[in-house]
Amino acid sequence: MTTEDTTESGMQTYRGIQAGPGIASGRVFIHNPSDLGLDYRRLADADVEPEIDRFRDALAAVRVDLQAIQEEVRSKLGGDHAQIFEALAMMLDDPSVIDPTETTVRERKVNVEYAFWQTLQQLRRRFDAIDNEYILARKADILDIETRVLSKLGRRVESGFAQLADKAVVVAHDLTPSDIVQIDRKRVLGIITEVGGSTSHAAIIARGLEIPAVVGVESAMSAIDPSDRVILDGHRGLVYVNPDAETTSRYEREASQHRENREGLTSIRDLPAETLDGHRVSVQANIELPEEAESSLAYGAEGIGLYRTEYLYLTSSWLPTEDEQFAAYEGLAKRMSPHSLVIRTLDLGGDKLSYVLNTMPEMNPFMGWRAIRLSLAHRGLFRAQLRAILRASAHGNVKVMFPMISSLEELREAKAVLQEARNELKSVGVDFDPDCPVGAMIEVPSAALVADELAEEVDFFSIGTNDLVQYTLAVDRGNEKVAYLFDPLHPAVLRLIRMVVEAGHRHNIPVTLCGEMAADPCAGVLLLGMGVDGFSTSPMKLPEVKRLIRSFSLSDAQAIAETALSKKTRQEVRKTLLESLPASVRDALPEGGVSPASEEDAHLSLEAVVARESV
Amino acid sequence: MLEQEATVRNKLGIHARPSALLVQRASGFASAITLIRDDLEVNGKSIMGVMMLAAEAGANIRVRTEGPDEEVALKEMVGAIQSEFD
Repeated sequence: MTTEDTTESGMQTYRGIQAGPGIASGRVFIHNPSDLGLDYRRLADADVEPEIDRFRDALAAVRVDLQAIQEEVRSKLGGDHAQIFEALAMMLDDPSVIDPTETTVRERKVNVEYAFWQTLQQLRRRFDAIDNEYILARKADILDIETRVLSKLGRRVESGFAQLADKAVVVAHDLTPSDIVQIDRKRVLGIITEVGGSTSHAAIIARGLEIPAVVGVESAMSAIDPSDRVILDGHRGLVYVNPDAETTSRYEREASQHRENREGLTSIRDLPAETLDGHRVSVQANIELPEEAESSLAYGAEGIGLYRTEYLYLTSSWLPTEDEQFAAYEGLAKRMSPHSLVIRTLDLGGDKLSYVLNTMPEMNPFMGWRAIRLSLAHRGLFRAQLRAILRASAHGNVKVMFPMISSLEELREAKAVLQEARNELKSVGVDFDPDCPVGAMIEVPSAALVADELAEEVDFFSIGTNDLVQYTLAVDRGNEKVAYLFDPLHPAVLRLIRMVVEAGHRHNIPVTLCGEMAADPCAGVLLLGMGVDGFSTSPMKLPEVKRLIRSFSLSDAQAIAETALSKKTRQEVRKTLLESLPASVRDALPEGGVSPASEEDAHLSLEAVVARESV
Repeated sequence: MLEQEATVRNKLGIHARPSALLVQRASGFASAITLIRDDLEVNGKSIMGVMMLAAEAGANIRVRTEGPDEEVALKEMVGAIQSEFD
């Protein structure tokens, strides 16, 4: 993936995968977690056996800790989950961990911290050689054991970020969940990692926190020195090391344009999303991390229309406990209150949970065992998430939403599990909102076609346009050969959306739309005219959506929608819509209007990327 | 020294829990137990090793035992790999 290019001035250019939007420029901070002042000491002969004893005591102490965690998990989530910790505990008894460590201490007469670290390094290298997602997840287990044992040996374990004093671009091999927790946005200008795709932890975090990031820059750690300066282009996935004057000034211009554009939009932030004739719609944010609450509010979100919970499941090498989930949901609910928070239950393919379920990659993951189907097959896991959501509902305006509903049976089954979760909480006297609204994500054509039946049994609909478009048109937009066919303005998609809106309104439930489609000015005016009650997009897009809504009257939008819906082809639809846009909006469009494929692609949602990468 | 092939039957392969069960069983024998898949040889008493096999359903694992209880160890380990782990 990395291509390297050196110019006469000594500037080097590396290509990676764009992970977080924006441009960062500055000095670098090389983050090297395995180099945290780990000391190396030679031992006198008499000190060798006491050193071994010290190691065994540390292992025993970690064993006790893990047993306590295991008990806690067992009591909260049941034995299946607790067994994951058993595997972790077994690493402490593993001859391939203990024997080489002790041999190194005895033969080379070095301190045990160093010997232990070296043993694990060798194991990590062997794991690296195996191309298997399950194995990659095990590396997090090794790191966990390493951290626990080293801290028992008295080494102060701290993140390398503690040494990051000034603003800098962080260069790392990869970032672990614990690194990420410690990231200080004020000091981290940008992130460059050697490994990872668009669903790596670093990428998810970077997008969520709007930190410019490029991942998958294979040789970054060796190519970039602590004394270098870099420019990181998160839009294009480029890293310039020691940029020349021309590149620097080009990026300075780009950055200042970007700032001006944003400042123009933020003036609109505090105004209501109201049409010229006084019709209010709601604008809400789609987020992946609780930390995004701040930026959502800063961009004028009136709630969280879609909180994707997948992140919790992707960051650790075992399932998040009910309490961990509750803590995340509760904090977010409180932060957003009195605004609403829609929590979508797990929307992952089984392959992404292979560390627990050990599922195999599927031939056709989009049509496969994923989202609500997976949750219904793992009731214990599903109930734990629902209990966490319900508990959070006592602390804010929380709503629960089921992804990928494709039939009424499935919805009823999911609601039955929700009822079980309610009963469990009731029986132990835990507080929750008994009227916590329940919604269905409409993203499969079959759900749109039975929307009337579904509407009778839920409190709200949320149309997931990314998936609805791809299922309706049978187009994987990740496939370059067919991506041009991916178009939310296809008459078939529009007719399905209309069916859903009408069905919702017949049953007096609100219909919102989740996805970047709302941020396309053409689609936005159409959806407004079709009667969509609210829009939910990534926080950064909210000011644009508001500006669009505020430049139309509802009656005009309705007339435009009626004309557009009568068109036979997607080109005719788009032409009608483009012509209807006021000059002020049209002028702000990129040249040639908005190309559906590229516009959408730049904002691939997590689940789309997840499913795509697993193909 | 004894050797025998075993085929993974558990439809989810040897993931975390089966790995733990295999290692626990192997650790009960005095004999050295080696599991071999293609050109990867691992210690059957090592959880890291067994995980490294990344054995999915249908994978063939060669079991090698060597020591005082090698016969019963071989029989038990082959049986364990071929069991459904429930």
